[in-house]
Amino acid sequence: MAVNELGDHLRQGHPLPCGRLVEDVFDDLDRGRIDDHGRTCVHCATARRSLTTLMEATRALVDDPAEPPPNLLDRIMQAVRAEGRRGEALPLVPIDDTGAAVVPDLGPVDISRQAVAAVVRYAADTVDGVRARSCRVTVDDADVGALRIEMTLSLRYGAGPANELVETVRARIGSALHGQVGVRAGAVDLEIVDVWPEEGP
Amino acid sequence: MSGAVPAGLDQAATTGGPGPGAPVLDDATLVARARDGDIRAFEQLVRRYQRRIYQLALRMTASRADAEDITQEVFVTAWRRLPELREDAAVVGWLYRTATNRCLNLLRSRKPVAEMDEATVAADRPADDPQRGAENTARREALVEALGQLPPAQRAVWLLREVHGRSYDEIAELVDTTPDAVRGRLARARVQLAERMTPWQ
Repeated sequence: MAVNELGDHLRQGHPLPCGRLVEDVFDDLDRGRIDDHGRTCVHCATARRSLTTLMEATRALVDDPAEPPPNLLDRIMQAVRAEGRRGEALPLVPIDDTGAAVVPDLGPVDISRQAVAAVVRYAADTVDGVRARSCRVTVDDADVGALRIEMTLSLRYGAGPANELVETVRARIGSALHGQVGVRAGAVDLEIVDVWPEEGP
Repeated sequence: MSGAVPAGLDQAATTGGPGPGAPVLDDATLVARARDGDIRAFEQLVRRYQRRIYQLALRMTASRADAEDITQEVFVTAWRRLPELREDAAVVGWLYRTATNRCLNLLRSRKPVAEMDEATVAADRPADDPQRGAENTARREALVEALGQLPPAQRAVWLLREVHGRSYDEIAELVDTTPDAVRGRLARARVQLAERMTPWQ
């Protein structure tokens, strides 16, 4: 090509001894085309072989058997736990079986926000077609002794009418808080933020 | 959690993360939960992506020790910075970006003399078919060696595209350039790798 006289830096290519750019040979190979020069030129043929070798090696590297050491997960999780960001404690007012507030013998009970959130998420997950996402647990200011839950949900497409699913989640959260934490649910705000597709057969 | 834990709470808290047989949760759900401080959800993300991040770091740095450290740093930083992540489903891209930056920073700070880590590369398990396994191992080793001779930024672009299948747009954003520049770098990397693996002149 005449452009070659202007210098290779303009084409930013790697010329073979026959004058063709390696880049162009690769491009032809990618597109599965070849011209008369390419068919007979030994330099072009060598370049094509090189690329084929590289492509095979690339596949071998995609199937890289190098595994992270087995203890890396533990190392990471230990470091993550050491970071803190633990949920603070919630001052709770426990209730008895009739729902009446009880003053515990040992004074007020503090439990971790984190632990309550886990119970609430788990309760939502038990509803088929529902996944809990974010979950905020606070003391309900408008309802003394109750916890306020704000949760976002993802629903499976075709799992049923959204408002029915949401009401089922609300009921399960209420009974989980009562049965497993021993505290009453106040306001439970549920927001659907995503839908995931039905799993294949 | 204080000593006075209501019955059932502990159990529910520990089953908050999916045990065996539990549904596989999508990234967005895990990120939303991890952001609330759910360590088990975060652990699932680590399990899902630590191998890819480790392999990228290993092939970037050619050092197992560095790859382990970088993988750990990437995930601990992710945990710390989850609240800033806008798009929950974008966590993979974020992990790749952080890992690539860490690798490039590390390589910049290394002495210019290329010292190959002794405990590096290979030690690959043979595949089921020993002959094919040995061929793949040899190809992979040759490629890894050739990769080590590319400039780090070019190596990153090649690995992210050809081995990890990231998009041109994502890579461009990641190394702060344009998709066209990424294509150019990729073409140059291919030529150099192919040349190093099978000299054609």
